[in-house]
Amino acid sequence: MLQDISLQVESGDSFLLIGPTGAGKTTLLRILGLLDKPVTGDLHILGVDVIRSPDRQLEIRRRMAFVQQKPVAFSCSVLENIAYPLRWRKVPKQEIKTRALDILEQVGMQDFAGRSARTLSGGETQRVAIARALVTRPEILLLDEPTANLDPNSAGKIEDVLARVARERQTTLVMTTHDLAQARRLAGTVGVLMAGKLVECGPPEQVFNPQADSPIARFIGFKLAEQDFNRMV
Amino acid sequence: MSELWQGILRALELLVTFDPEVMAVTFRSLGISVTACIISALVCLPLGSLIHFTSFRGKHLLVSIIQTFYSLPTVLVGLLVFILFSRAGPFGDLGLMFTPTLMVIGQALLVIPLMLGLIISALASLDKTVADTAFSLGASRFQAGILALKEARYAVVTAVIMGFGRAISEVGLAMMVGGNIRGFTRILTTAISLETSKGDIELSLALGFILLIISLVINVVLGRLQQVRSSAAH
Repeated sequence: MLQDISLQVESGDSFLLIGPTGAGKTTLLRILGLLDKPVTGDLHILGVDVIRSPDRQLEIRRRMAFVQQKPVAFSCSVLENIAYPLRWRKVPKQEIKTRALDILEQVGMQDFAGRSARTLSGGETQRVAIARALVTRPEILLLDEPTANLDPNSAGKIEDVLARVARERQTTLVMTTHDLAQARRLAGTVGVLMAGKLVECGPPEQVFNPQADSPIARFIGFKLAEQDFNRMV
Repeated sequence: MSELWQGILRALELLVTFDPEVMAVTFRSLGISVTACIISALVCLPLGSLIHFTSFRGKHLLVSIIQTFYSLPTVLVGLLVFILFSRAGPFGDLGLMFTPTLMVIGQALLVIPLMLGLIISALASLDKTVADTAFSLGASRFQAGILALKEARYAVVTAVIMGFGRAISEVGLAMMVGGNIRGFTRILTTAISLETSKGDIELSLALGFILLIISLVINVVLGRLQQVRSSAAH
């Protein structure tokens, strides 16, 4: 359960949220994505008090996109999957096809356009889900461990796409990750969530140099050792 | 026994020669039940989506009540429709008593709880991530509902077909509000009931074979849908 979360993410920032499993990262992201409601408190997105203005939530949701931890593909082709959010926004047909094919190329899935999305592997589905979110050109992009199921090569490609999107379109990224190295690479701001509380929030150089013996230090130290071990193996 | 065997042979003859009365009753049955199903589907698809996607107090109770009405006795629905549309009833002025139109209305009322409950179940069995994904990509409620129905299409079609099965096989309601009038409101089930009571076993058997064939087709289609749904899931 989240407690006393007070968080401000600047427009155009890349905010990476780290923390142990069960800390509440996905819950926080779902609240930001307007999929769940907070029990108390305020939530302002793009200048709109979304709790007190439920009639504006659709408008705000259409300016965001969310890639879930275990994304699901719709029962149609890969291209149709990408086209769905554009169709919902009444984008003209020809533009839908152009944008969809373009984004598939950016995530390295251009050869999968006509294939049934239900036949894709976990990693391929993840890339399609990312493309599906990016094609809408969101102002805010929420990603729940987007490279978790990807091999290092694909993960690198996705990171490049995300970094480019953030840079060129000034898209605000809010992303959870277990990969501290990724957090260091991509983050403008890092938040550490532990047991439902945001215990630290700041630039990477501040967060990754915590006080010794603090819970954050123990968590970061453990995670870095785990990642070193995985690299050796 | 030889009478029964003769009856079967005569029934087959009526079928093979497309006896006009047999064909008229068959097409009237199909017309009334298919129309009732279409009307029910037009009501249940949006209503089922709305109930599934909306959180409100008493939702579980409502779904339980809907499921309770799955096996509502047809004569009870027939009685209700009779009361409403009889001369003394609130809709008596419409003059619909003993017409195919009223039979359509009655069958639709009979089928709606079953179809609605099964559509809600079909949507509930969908991965919750589907709706979340739709909302998170900017779908409105209506758009998310359409997507959910598409994703659950095999189960939804199964619900509609099961509704049709209930409609085509019911006799109580059709008898009470249709009157079993020859050439006008006589359908397969009411004709079988009448002809059997008159002792015309051959005609009853012919109509019974047709009803059996329709049931068989329904079952084969349902079975095929289940197979397609299973292979789509894997």
